[in-house]
Amino acid sequence: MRALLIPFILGFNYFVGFYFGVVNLVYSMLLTISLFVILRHIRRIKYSPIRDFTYSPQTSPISILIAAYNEEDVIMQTVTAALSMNYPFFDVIVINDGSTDRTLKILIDAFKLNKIDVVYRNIIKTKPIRGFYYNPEFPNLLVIDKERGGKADALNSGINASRNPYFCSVDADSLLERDALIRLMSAVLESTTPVVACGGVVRTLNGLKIKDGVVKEINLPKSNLAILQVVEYLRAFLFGRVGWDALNAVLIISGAFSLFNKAAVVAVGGYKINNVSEDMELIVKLHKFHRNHRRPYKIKFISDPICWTEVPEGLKMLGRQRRRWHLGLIQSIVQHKEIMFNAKYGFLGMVVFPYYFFFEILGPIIEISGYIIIPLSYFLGLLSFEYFLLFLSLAIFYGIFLSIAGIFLEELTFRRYPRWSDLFKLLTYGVIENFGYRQINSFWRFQAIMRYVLFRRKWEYVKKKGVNMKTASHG
Amino acid sequence: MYIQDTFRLTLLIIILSVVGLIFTTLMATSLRRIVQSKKYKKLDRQRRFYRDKLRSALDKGKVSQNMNEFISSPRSIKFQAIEDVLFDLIEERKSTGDIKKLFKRFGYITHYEKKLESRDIITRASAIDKLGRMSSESSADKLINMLKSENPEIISVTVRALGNIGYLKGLRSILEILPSIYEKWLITRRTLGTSILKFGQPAVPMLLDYLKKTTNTKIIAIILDVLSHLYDKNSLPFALCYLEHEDAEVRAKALKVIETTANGTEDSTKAKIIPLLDDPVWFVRLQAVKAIGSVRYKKAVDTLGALLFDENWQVRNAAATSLTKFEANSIDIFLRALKQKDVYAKQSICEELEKTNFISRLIENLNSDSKEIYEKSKEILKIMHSLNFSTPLFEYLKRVENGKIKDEINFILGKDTKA
Repeated sequence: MRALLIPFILGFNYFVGFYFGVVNLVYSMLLTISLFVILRHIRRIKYSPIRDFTYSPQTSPISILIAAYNEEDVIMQTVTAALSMNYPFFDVIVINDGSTDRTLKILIDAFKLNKIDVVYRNIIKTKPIRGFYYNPEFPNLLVIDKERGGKADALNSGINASRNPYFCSVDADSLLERDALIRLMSAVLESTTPVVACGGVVRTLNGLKIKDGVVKEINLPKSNLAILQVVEYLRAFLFGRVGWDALNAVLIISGAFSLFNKAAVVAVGGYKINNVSEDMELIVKLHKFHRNHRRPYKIKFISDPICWTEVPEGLKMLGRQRRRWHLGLIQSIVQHKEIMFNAKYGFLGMVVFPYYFFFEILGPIIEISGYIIIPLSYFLGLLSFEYFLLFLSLAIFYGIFLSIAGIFLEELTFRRYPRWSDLFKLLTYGVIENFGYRQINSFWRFQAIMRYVLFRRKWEYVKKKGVNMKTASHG
Repeated sequence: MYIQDTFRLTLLIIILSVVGLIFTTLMATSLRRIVQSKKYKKLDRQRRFYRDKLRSALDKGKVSQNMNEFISSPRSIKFQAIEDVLFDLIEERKSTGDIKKLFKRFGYITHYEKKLESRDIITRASAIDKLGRMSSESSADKLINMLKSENPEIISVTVRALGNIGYLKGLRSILEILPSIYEKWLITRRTLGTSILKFGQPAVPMLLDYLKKTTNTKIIAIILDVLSHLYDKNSLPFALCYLEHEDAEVRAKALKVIETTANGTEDSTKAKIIPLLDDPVWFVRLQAVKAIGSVRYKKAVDTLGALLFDENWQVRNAAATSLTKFEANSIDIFLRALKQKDVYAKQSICEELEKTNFISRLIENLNSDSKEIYEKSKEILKIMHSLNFSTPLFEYLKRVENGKIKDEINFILGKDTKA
């Protein structure tokens, strides 16, 4: 037994070393690219045509789609914020996805909506519609009430009802900054290659002071778990996605805030309803469709439009969210496995897909196995304590470096947390997250893999508190 | 042993490098925070100070007497503070001519004109943008030179800056190179349109003159699109000339110009739109429908009615919307249309009647003294109900505003036979 175990453990140790090296090499590369891209972007922002586009009749009209399921605590603030966008022509379509609470009633009362009949073309098949609500006094607001079909189904019905060439999906518990939409759209308007999808930065709403749908004061959340997510979001958005964007290889755009060309989305059949991470699957489909048809396209990530979203403050809900994200990632990659190592898809097929499969999807398996096998190697005398410590230190220090680098990029660019105490807290949590938080995240992701293997691929509902919105709307 | 030592040493060096990177990043973050905090604190203070000073000096007309107080080195924070204050004052005041002149007198124009020579594209583009925002007419010639650049970013910002200045010579230069800006430099049509629009109404004669000379259909479409947003009646005769153009986009944009300029003109002018209601291209028909609705050409109501059955749903919807603008004149058309067999077209009509709130008028007509209007309105509502477009009727019943109307609605809904 021991004779079999030892070569396996030794081999695994070498493999982990190699794997770790490659992952960190990719991260370092993304970080370097992001640093240059962000610095350039920040300088260019000073003369961007955003102001001109805000008042220009040339700016394309857009529909903001808000899918809402039991969002009575937050829906008013989200809709108010959406209606107060600095954007010349837009409408807001709220899709009440069979809520069992007062979500619909709140909207009807607040906007004095009348139930009307609308010609609804079921271009992308959705669950039945129960009614449309409209008030000519708010001509850019339409509320759709439909039977419960999930977020993807709700968004698809919003796409069917939209009459504009672009739409922006926004989560019901999220808040857009007033210029977010025009900043996102300016990337589309300025590009000579058609931009079929475009995503902005998502940040944590917890801790913010909000009034009338507008962020009045930015504070760090009180919950430790939420602060850890602030650091995590900064890292993911400011160097992860910026880096991939520079390589024209964006595979994830947050569903909480993303803009799409409607015709392109309709051409690929809209959001897939059986996928737990419908936003990522849609992006993969868009890539695939355009490459299959040899159509020029771009999928962009822009680092200055900001959407604030509420993050879970409890481990149970956070675990659900993370399992869902990872399950969605697995589904999206596996469902489109033909892209993998397929030269027809260029960089996407040869680099991006393999990266996501081997490093993002399988990463937790290697990590969890590492937590078992490396100590085992030590106990079996296959790894000296000195090497064990050296590798552990390297892993931890590099993790800390990446977290701090995310905060540094934030400091270089947007500085949304102006207090010294906030900066200090962020840096501290950037260190702390490597001791426990990362590991538990890997565990949740590992659970997601197991669930995928065991066919337990259901959508896990994440209940948010709606604390900030609730306080602000009544206070 | 040697290999192991080397490996250990390599690992240690990597770890130490990462630790070094952590500390460097921490230091850089903190130092940047310190430097920026100091800078912005000072900048905010200076902005407040000079905002009050400048406001008061401008109100009293004493800026010239205190010139030295406002002039500073371009590298100083004071320079930036005063620049920000001047831009803010432009935003908040109606008369901005005096403020714009101050940019020159305080040395900003000279400073940014020097930056036009920079090799760094971002620095140059920033300077161009600033000169545009400062509406520096004296810099226009230098900016026009920038149009010779080989860099699309520089050209794009220059076009916008010249638009901000509104200097017509700048527009002439833009027009001269418009085809290459659009085709060679791939600057998007929307960016171009937005920038040219900034020249405003004074640009109309030059744009019209340009239209006479150019044959490039894409450029004609851009210019017509710009003209449609400038609402100048002088554009109308030109737009009419393009109604028979071979390019569908040009025809559509010409109609867009007519939509915004032909209101109140003679019927003979409005009649020229009618042939385009039968255009083979759907977006030309769509634009023609919108134009007819906008100029309220009553003689076209019947033709518009025929478009309620167009093969394209956008045209059908637009036709219904346009018809609601003719109010009582359109009741017959709607009634005739709703008696046809095309269910999709009828649904489009019903939706527009509900969305434009025309249905409220129809409901009120149930109480009309005119028997003809009463009967026609009732019939329309009956047909709408048969097509499941009766939610407003049910909603009206819930509100119970008028007993007679309520009875009529109940009858339409088949709840009561009294009426």
